Amino acid sequence: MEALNGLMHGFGIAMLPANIFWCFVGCFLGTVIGILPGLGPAATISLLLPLTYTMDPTGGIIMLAGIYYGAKYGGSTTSILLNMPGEASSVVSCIDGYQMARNGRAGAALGIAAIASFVAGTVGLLLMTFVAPPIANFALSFSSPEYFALMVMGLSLVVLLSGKSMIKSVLSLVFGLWLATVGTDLFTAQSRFIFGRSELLGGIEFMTVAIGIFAIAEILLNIESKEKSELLTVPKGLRNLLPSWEELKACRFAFFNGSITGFIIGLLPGAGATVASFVSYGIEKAVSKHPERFGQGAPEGLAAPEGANNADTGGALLPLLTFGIPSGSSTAVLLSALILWGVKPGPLMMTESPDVFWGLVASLYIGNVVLLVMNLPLVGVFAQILRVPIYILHPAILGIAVAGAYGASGNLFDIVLLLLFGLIGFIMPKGAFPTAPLILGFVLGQPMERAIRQSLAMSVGDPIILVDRPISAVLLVIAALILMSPLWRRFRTVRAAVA
Amino acid sequence: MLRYARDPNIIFGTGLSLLGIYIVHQSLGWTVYERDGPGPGFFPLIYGGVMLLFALWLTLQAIRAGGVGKPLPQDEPNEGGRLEAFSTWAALAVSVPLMWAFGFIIGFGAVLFFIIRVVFNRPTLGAAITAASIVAVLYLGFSELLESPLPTSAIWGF
Repeated sequence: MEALNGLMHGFGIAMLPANIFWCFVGCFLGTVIGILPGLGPAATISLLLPLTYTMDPTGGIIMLAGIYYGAKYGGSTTSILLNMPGEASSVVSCIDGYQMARNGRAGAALGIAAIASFVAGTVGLLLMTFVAPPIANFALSFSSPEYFALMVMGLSLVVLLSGKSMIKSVLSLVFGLWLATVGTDLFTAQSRFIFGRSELLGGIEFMTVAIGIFAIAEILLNIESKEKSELLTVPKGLRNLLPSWEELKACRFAFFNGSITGFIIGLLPGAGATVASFVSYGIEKAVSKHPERFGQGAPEGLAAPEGANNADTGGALLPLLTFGIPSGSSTAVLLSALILWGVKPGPLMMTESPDVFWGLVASLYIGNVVLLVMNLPLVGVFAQILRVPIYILHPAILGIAVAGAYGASGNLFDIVLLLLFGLIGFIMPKGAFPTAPLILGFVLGQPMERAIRQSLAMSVGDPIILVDRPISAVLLVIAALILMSPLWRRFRTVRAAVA
Repeated sequence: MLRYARDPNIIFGTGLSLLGIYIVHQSLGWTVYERDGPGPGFFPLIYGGVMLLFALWLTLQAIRAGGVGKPLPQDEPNEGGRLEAFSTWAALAVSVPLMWAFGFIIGFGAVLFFIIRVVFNRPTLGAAITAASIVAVLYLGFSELLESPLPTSAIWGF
């Protein structure tokens, strides 16, 4: 009942002309960004963050969220027409999507991707809408020790799921924690790691890190790779974009699988839409009566991952809005945006900022419809974006990055930092270091330090407080099990080899 | 010896080990723990220690594995692309003093011209027009439309 009332209130907010406009702008930009290979939603949200300072928080978050899930719709277009994923979460869509296009079913493939995204995205949102209030009520019983334990558990999952090497994920994470502690200590006003620069006393701007790590680094990586592919033509006319009845029938289970798998994996910090799409594709192939069709242009092989990467949105926003803990890079940027506007995500957000909370949730439903309507008839138009020359596109993005970073502080030193983080983001993949843990470490560094120090101050310095409280103890045990799971796998492998 | 110098895990591991040592050393210079709870050195000491431990582990693992051999021709990194990426980054780095001296329009415009002309290999006139157009749009968008500040010249003040 609480969810329904909240949702009705949310629709009242989201249906305001200004908010519908921002929702449309976000979905449009998201689709464009999704289509452009190499520039992800996290980078785009970071780039546009300075432009939202003067906006109403509700309109601002509606637009940024539109970019977040709009990019997932757009990401499939390049996978299908170019065999080049616009987003990491669209990698799996290449397998059967591009094959369908090569078999002369490009239109149907684009249609299936849009329909799967809409169906699974809506299911994910419904789950989020009805699960969020009870979770937020449960989160009200959390104090500093529980929050610290929850962050430790979340970051443990990030470490486990983010990269191939757990050591590198940990190193990336602690590097982010270090960046978060640069500046003045919250409790004692002690300056830390400022290297004698007064500009660092206030800490490092989140936007500088995010734009550097995502936007600048992605452009440099694109310049380095010089990828070129041939764009397949999009059939004209809406009728040619609709899949046949047989194709839709083949996707029945894929819609369900994508919805549930995407939502559940979206809840896990560090997993994200990419993992969700791979897992749902694996499930689809495992249960299929015709696994041999996968990789040859099976419609269900496209519908499952496309659905999963959209259902992931609902799952990923749930921990952000109810606990204030992001599950990935894009939600980390959204968290920072909310904090910048003075909105505190967490269990009290529903009561303290109901317009923002429910307005955002309702706008996601509207955005899903907008994206379906926008993507089906206009996919041919969007595909033309791929024809924008990179010698215009890349310099323009670099310009927006520099102007945005400078605008946040009005200080040239921030551009120096921006370039430094751009370089870090560029060299990290060379050593197979994942960037998501760095960003999450940076975002959660200060709240984590605050939580542990407040906990220990509450107990007059006794660390037993962390395991003395049941919720905190359970969360820390789960975190320990997560971190030890690779060791357990290794032990079993060794034992099997000995046997 | 080159096998080790080429290994990214050894390079990253060594660099992060040094950073870990620096963080731990700095943290110990601040209050770590008092009677009523932790001080400013507490949290950095923990993650600094973790960084040092894992970075050393990464380095030792790579050394035990014997470093990396010379890459096969098909695995060679795209040297041309890498050079262009670093040229772009270097040009952006030069834009900082240029913007300080000549402001955003001229300072950043010159850098964009270089990137479009040299990195993207466009004709001189086309590169100049494209760079000027991008800078003009950015100036109008940020400075005029959004009233967001852009770097101004230390010489002529705009």
